Amino acid sequence: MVKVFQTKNCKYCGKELEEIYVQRFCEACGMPQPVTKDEDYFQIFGIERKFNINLEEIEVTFYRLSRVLHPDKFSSSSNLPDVEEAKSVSLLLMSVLNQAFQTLVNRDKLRSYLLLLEGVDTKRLNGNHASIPKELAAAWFDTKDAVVENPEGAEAVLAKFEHNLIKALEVQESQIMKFEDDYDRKREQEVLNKLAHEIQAKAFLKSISRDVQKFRDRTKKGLWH
Amino acid sequence: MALVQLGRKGRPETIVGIDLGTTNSLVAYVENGQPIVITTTEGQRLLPSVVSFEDDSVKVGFAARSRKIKDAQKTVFSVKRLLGRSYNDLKEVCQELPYQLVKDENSADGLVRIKVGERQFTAVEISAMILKELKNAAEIALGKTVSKAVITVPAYFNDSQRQATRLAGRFAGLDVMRIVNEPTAAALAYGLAKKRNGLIAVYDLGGGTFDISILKLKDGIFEVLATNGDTRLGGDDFDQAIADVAIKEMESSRFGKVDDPESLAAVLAAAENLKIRFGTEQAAEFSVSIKGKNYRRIWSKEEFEKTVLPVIERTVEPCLNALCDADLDQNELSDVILVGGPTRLSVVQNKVEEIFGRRPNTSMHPDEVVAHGAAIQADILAGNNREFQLLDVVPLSLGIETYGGLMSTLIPRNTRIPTAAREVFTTFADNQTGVDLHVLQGEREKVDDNRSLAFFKLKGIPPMPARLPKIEVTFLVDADGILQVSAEELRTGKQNAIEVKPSHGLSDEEIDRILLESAENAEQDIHFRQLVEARNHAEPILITTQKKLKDAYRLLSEQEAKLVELQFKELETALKQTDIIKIQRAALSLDKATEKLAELLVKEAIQKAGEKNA
Repeated sequence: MVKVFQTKNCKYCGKELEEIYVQRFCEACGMPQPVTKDEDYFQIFGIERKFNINLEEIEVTFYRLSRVLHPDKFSSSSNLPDVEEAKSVSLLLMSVLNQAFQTLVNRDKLRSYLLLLEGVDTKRLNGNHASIPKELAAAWFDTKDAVVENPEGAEAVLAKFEHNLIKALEVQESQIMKFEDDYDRKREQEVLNKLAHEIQAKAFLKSISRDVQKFRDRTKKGLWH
Repeated sequence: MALVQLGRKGRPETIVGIDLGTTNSLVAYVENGQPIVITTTEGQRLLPSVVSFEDDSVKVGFAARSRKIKDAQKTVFSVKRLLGRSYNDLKEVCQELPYQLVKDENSADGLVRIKVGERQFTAVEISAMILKELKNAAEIALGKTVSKAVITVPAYFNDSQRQATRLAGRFAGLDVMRIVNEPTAAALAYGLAKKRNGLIAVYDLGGGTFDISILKLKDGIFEVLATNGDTRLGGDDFDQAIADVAIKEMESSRFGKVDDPESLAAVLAAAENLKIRFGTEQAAEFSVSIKGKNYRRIWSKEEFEKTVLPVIERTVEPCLNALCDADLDQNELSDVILVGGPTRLSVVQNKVEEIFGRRPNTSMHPDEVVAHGAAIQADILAGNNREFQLLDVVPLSLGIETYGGLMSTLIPRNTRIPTAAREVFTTFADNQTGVDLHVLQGEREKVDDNRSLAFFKLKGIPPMPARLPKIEVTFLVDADGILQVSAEELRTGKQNAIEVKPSHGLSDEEIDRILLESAENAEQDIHFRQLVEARNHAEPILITTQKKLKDAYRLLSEQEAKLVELQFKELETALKQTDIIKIQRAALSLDKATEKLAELLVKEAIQKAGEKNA
């Protein structure tokens, strides 16, 4: 994997910082280095912006950075140029690092984050719902009717629908992953737009999946009578 | 002894680790990389978390616990259950406790107070008395001032409860360096002892709280993946369940009503006793004596287990939720650790096995493991342990009130801490200069079902037409799991003043008053400190003399040697007492008596060195 390095100097003593983990921690004066507003989570972890990232590498980096940057490391040190500054920088730095880590290791979060960085907000897509599987949506309306009409046979009907739903989710996921691979290779904006719609379709399927669970709970409680 | 100076000054300050428990508290520190529990002034490893008031004096520990029945209304126990809670929160608990709880009408959120005779105390103040006792024990044991501590809390403690704990530390004269979650602390102790990597669950059933945490251990990193629990579930509930059965039986026999504080306290104590006996025995007798009348009955293990099982069942759901949040299957765990007294019971161990599908690890000391962990974290903060690093999470979601009385989550539960969330607010009227915010903690949708943490008022917004100001509020959860809030108006870059009403229920004036009162108590503290210093000065003299007693008889006249031994014994006796003057005099006398011996020893040493060189 190609690492993205920018050479920086220590904000406090001016010494040049080279390696990624050193960039956040100056070995010369011991001060943690604040995150600047233009840095994204990929840059913080020193990796290329893409969907298929090496999770083990992320974890190793996260642990290594945590060891030197956690506020624990600055609570008793008295020989720093500015102890209070070190404490507050480490607190903010660690909070950004935590958020970055939790975003990168979660497939869904990573997707929306990367799209957002590229200017595509999956939460605010409108218009083109072409990728929403219409057949499945229709089948769900039929299933709901069947459950309400005949609560005794509800479990069988729900199980059958759920079987199809799970299959559809798998298909959807593999479609998304295909587009992700495409983007990682070609970096085309067009791929991102397609991807966003597939993600939206998957979110729609997920919401049906939650509805199925709700229907099941209500059936168990006998709420249809 | 005269010549040998053991420099005790200039040693780095020791940060102690404190397990402030519902039933018992402990203090520990790390020496040579190993955690050591400090013996209390009562000569015990545990300090019962009980405070008893007798006329003008306050007793803490076993001395207080022994008064639990005799003076039930003036003996406060399980105060941890009251920390950071309002009177309304505690209505059910009130009826169970033999001491009196009252509502503080002056505080906005109806804080609970403990009424002892004519005096009223907050739970924070009572907790501070326990902490102070531990601080004293540590100072005597370590021979130096102790002013910094790591204090553990249940992982499922909310922000108010954490703040209340930190304030209790402050009242006790302790700078609380870190609030650590109890199961996480236990994991640190486990990690130090076992040096294993893997995924572990910590099942922590204490006196009053239950926590479950799932952690990943990897080469000194302790990463909490998920935590869950119930802050109103613990060994006390076992006692209550047994007491309920017993009271029913007693009332249906010749006893009549059992409802006065002394009788209730006696029944609870008997129930606790029965529970502890079942830790090792197959059958035990419930025995209580009330107002000259005795009630006793043998319980079978089966009956005991049946009685407490409903309480244990309540731990199942939090465990399953934690596994689910950690996105793990039970068979991916490599170990399950037990913490807390009640986990000694086989009925608890069997339930844990049922939940996790494996026999739990019982090798860690259930009462001491949390204190060990607190001490290890203290050692990390002191910069001595560079190998270990804790990465913890926030146990409950944090959010703000939105339209319709609903909570909007800003920081979901199990987010790694420290963490920050930002939200932009605006005004609804022209020239509006303030905005009210209501911060909440909990997992429910409706505001009223969650814990209200604080009301914030954003002030000093520059007058502008409605909806024009953009006030960015940053909610920062620090490494203690405690919320800090700051705000900035984005158009002007102006920092906004924030007025916070913390909900541990103590106003700033009250905090100042209590801190002032503790300064007035400082006279007592000064005596104590002088005693510690006198002992510190005398002990090295005693120790070195002891080593050279044989030389005294070899090098000095018999009369001189006997004098040395006599003075030695006098100092030895003085050190066992608390008379400062006596210690100082005895130390001085021994110092004098050994002057000649010291000179002779030095001469001898020089002579020997000379012979070697020649």
